Amino acid sequence: MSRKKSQEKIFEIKWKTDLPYRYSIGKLAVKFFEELKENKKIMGSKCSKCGKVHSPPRAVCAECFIEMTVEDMVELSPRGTLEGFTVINYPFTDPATGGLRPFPYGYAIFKLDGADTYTMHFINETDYTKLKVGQRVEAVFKEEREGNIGDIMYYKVIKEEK
Amino acid sequence: MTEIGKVAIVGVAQTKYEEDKIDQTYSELVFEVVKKLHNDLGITNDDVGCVITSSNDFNDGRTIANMAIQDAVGSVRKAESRVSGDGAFAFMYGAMRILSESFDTVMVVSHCKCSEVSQYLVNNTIFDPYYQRHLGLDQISSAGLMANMYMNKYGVTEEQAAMVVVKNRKNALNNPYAHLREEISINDVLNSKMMAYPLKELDFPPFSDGAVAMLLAKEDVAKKMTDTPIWFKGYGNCTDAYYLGNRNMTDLIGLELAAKEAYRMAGVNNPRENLDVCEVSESFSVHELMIYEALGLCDKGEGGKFIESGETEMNGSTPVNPSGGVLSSNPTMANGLIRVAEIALQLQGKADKRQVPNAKTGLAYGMNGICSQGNCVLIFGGEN
Repeated sequence: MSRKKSQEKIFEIKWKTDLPYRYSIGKLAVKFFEELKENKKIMGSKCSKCGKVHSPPRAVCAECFIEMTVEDMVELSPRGTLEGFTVINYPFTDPATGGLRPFPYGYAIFKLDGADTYTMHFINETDYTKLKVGQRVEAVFKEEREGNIGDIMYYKVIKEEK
Repeated sequence: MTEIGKVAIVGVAQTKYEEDKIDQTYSELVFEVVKKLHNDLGITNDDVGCVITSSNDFNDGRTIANMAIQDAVGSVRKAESRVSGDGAFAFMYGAMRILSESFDTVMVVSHCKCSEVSQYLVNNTIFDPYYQRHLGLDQISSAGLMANMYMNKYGVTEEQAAMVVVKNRKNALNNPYAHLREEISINDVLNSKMMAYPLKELDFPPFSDGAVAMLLAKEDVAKKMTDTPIWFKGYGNCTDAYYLGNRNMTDLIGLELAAKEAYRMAGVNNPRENLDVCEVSESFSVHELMIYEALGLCDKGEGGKFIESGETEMNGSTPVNPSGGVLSSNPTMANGLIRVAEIALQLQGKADKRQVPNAKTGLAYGMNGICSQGNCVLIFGGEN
């Protein structure tokens, strides 16, 4: 049934839930964001058993069922290799601000040098014909960093052979 | 304990799936299907032993949202529980209440009103709130990344992906419950607005409102209730890594493992020969090609060629989604239970214009989360 103007008052109410959280992110994420903010470093975590390097850091290696601590954190290169990409072309409500984010924007999945898992982030290219799997990418950091994932503004394609 | 193969679906009921059912609350949608099922089977709520429902709190706009449908589903002062996830998992929960001999009959119901909240925002909350959520990942952007990686690895084309949409939309013409009932062409898909390269608007499903219900019963009760009980033959469940970066993004490993387990239990040795009909939860066009591969209907990387072969069309050897699939109707949380309901109708010979002739064994695939994260494969047979 179509939404009839005259019926809206009868048939629907509107509300917006404001549900503020104070969310514990764990010691590894704290270290990750500290290093990002203070030193422009991207950290991962390395399993002491299988040696797999997780990016972003995870607290448990699912394969080995072994805990990783801050001592198991390793620095990753800000550079990596593109494994896949998409260009987003629809309006997206930014959960951080509640406002609409401008589109189109590029989104990439890549492996940072030194990491064994994929990392995902924005890429500053909206022409998908210019993106190719295997291209080298590099993180671009904010000058005024706040200690959140937005401190990496985006990744950019760089000319460099692996 | 009751053996697998001794639990039956005795009847199913569905609403019509539509974009915006503003004249019905989700509780009313549930009542519509439950009451219809009571009437069809000639039973009352007293004949229902236990109630299992499935929905999602964020979609329902409240927590413990099963209480919002309590009267309509008939669960007041009854054994009741709810799966916060896809309806296929609710089927499994319901079947277990009979397998454990706790109940003779179980009502399984799933509903969703996608129209009531932004599905992009709901899907974004799947992701962790510090590394990923602020970067805007949702079901559409994740699908774009997965499709790009899969197509790049195996050389699958956008035309082959579009063929999935054309097939499912054509099938939906035969399904009176389907939301989108309009035939479209490959060019319509290719020329639709780019959403998340390489996927266009028509590579994605609509958002739908609707509900589905079914009654399960143990063997002797089932045979009294209906002449066409549909027997539950096999089940496999596997959850792939939650973090997309920890997955193989080009093959649906979790679904492969779930299917393998379900096939073992049901004695399916050659899925293409043994399965007469499949209903799968395809979240986007390319996803269905990947599902063919994971279910073993074709080899890895061959999904594109397999759709071209026509084997998954209505007149092919293994029709997939005669109902029109998720690409035609998408009340998200109910999708898996709709797949089960459609397989039941096929095996009962009650699928009307979308009937696959002589369907004896069928597969239903339900999915939780993004890009085949949680996988539930169910096999059914029409004869015991």
